[in-house]
Amino acid sequence: MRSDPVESARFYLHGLASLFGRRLVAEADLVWVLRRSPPVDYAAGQVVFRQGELAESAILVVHGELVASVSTPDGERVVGAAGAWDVVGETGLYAPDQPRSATVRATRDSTALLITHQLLAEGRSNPVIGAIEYHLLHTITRRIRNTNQALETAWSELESRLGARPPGEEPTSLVRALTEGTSA
Amino acid sequence: MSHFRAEADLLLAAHPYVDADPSDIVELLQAATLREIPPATVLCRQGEVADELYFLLRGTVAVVKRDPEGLDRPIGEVHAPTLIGQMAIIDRARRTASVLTASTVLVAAMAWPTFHALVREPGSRGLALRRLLLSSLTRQLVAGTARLRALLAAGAHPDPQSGLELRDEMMRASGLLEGWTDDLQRAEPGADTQPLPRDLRLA
Repeated sequence: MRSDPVESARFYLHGLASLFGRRLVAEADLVWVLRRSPPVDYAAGQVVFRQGELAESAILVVHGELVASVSTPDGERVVGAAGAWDVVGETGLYAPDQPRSATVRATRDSTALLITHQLLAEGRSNPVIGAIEYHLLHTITRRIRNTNQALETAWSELESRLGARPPGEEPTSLVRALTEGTSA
Repeated sequence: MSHFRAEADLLLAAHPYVDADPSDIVELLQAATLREIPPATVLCRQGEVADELYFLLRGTVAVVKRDPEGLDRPIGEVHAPTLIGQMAIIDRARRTASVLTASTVLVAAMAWPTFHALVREPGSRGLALRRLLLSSLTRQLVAGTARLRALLAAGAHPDPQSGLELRDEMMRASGLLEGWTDDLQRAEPGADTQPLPRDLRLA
């Protein structure tokens, strides 16, 4: 039997806000968020958003699974998946003029909360919104670290294709200053 | 309360969609320690555990990043107003680049305990801090990813002649991604910016 999407979302937000504030969150604050952003159900196979569309919201997965894919000359390529507690499309909140970089679809029946800039603006004093923002901070930081890790892997592949560092490429005087200079 | 108002306005102008009141940014800056630092001074070093978030209020800094082979590469300059060192203070990781002042700079350094308390604060100061950080992180994720995509397209079939340039570009993309540099910054450096050593290859 499928769980009630509103109860699932309430449970999700309650956990998020309690972790953030280290105390129980007021029921009225939870209700306010759920009224402004009712949980959205996606059936397995349904598209959540498409690559190239303008980004206007972030998606917080309450339960289920979403998969992101990009169009390549060789066809669709899966680039990531998101499950419960994950966030997708978060750049839409602070860079809304950017197009979606991937198409996201549900791979099984899923429930999500749509976080819009308007919701954040109207919920300035709501600790549940604060908790969502705090969750977003850590989500984006983790995503950047993962991407940078992929860059380091690409570097290693480049090194193996190009060979060792060219001779004569030595640390600069700025680097010497860094190793010998004073700290602020 | 008017102290720092001009800096708060500039910080907000540089971070779109933050939707915070300038007076809250002023309070954030007042919760930090103000430092005027001379040129050629290390602000933070790669590998150190982060214990401060920096609001660069005036001046210019240079960023150096160590590549996976251990070579330190200058990857760019950053001009005020901006945040520096935000990622490592969020997840309490080690610095992934070193920062050296390229001019006399004015920074407001927010210590970890203050940051930790403020970023979880439900009030307006916490909101302003979280949204400044979200705006900054989003911008670096968008800019860094775009640079990486361009690199992947250009570097799909690298040849030995272009290898060095590609390595530099990869480190610059990494610096963008981590928020050390910013493609969107176009401000001219201040009059007191020191000429950097001639053998530097800055972005």
